[in-house]
Amino acid sequence: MSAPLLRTRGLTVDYRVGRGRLRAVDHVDLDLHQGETLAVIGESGSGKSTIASALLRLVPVAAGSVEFDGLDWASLRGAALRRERHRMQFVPQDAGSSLDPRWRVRESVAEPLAVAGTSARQARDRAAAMLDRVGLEGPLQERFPHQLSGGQRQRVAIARALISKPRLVICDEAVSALDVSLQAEIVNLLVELRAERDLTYVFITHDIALLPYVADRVAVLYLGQVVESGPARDVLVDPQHPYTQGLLSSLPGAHPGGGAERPVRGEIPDPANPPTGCRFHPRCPVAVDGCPQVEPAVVPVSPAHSAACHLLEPRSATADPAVPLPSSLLRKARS
Amino acid sequence: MTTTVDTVTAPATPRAEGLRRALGRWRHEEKAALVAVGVLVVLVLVAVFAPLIAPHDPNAQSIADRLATPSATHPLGTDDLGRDVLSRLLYGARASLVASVLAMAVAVLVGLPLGLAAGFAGGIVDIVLRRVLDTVLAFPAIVLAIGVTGVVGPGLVTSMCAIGIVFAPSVARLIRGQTLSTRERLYVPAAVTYGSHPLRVAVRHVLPNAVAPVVIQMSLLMSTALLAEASLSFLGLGVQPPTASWGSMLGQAYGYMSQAPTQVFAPGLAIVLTAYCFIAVGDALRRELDPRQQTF
Repeated sequence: MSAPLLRTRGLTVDYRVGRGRLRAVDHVDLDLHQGETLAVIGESGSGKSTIASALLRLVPVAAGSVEFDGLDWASLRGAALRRERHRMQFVPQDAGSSLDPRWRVRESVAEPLAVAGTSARQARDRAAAMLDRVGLEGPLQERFPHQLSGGQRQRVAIARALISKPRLVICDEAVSALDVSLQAEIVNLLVELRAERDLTYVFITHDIALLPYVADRVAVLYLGQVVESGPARDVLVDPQHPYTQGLLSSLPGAHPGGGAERPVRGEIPDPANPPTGCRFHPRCPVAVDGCPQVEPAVVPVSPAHSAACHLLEPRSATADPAVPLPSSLLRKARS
Repeated sequence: MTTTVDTVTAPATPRAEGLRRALGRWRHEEKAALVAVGVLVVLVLVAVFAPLIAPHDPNAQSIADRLATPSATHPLGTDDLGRDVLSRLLYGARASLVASVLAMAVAVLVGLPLGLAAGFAGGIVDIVLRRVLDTVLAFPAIVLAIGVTGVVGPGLVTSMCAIGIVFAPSVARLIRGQTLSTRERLYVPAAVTYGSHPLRVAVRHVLPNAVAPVVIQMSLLMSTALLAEASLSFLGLGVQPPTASWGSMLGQAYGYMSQAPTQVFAPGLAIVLTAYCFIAVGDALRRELDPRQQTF
């Protein structure tokens, strides 16, 4: 296989909290090939958005390497970094606040081109064409962000992200703030644009129900660590980690028969003070002796699918069988 | 395009309204401020056209007519050197208005970049700038102006520049606080992700969104500067004789309060009225631009 478009090894991000520090992202390895969509899922506080900020070089990377599009991305600095930033763009959750309230949306969309030195007229024309493409036409382009609906603002944010012809687009909860019918529209738009422009996505979401529509690969994040990753179908159909199993079983309608329902209980622990051993053990329904002491290794389940759980090491019958599959997901994932 | 349903008009905001509609609203909600604007416009016209409307030469002395009470020839009487008070009042508007604009401009030109730099750069730049600004802020404006005129010599421009520099920290602190909160808006990191230079982000995104309270502050500074000019000229450190300013007129009339008590009223009322107008406009702008009333 060719070299991945994005490869992180040991990506670590620390935040300073008072005098101490909080490890928001802890040695994360991700691989993403051109044209694929990698979904990063997890609860609030799992470090999903911090990964996005680190990849976008908005927060400092404490350790680890990031290779992106043939560049040593994590070590670029200053003007060199600014010149290359157009290769990776992002679509935020809150498109409204990501647009300057004093700028007409077409001006906001043209700005990345203006920054890159494109002439004003050309930037303007291309911005108009881009907005047309994402479905925001005519006089709507002359409006201010507060005069548009949530879905329209999201289209503007997408147009601004794509105008500079990026290789990789990071969608950080890009549709989470929208209602369900709009979500479908925007997701469809993103999928269309991916094919049309040969894009690669990192799709960060807490909404597992979206995964079958967008994701080729899934990485499940818990307290800053990847606990399971693999092809979307494998992870959704045959989740290996108890946390992934819990997340999937929390989907409404996943268990019409009841029985094996085993949603994740409790709250995510304080990331400033993570549990010892396996970080999931306080909430794990199948934790055994040793889980609180020993950090589990990443175990390959198949060549592309791996998870970090002690129970997987022997792959024995002592491990609980996987949660019965949510039939709705199964259908979608196989389609 | 399937979302046309929700494209109907969003609620109007101060930003979206034209100037005309805003003024139309002021006619109902901000009558005092509108009157104040009118008075200030008249004052500017008076200052500009003083030579045309003044009945006498403001500096022409007539000892025989000194300290005359108001009459047809001298509607506001004459001062201790027999000069026409009305004419001096009209000419004095020039010095007083120029002084307040000058001090305000110096305060904004010095304070705005410093405050923006402190808020946007943060870190050591912020710490150093804040120490310096706090030091200047601790200095009484009039005392510094007196000190400066003591070194450079009395004069309107030097004393008003000194006043402006003492005012600069208040502008800087205001814009620093605004910058800190504006910097947290998502459109700032968004601008970084497409490669904007930090200076471009500061000038194109942060400053325009942070500047509204400074506009309010500017009008209040002008009223303070007007009073400072009056104080300095009263002390003889502002405009130099025979040039008229309201402060210097007050200073001279003060010496003859027992003989001609009416002389202090003309310049005194002019100072009070103008300062009040600046404050009224500032207050109305504050209500107009208050971020809590904005819908975005």
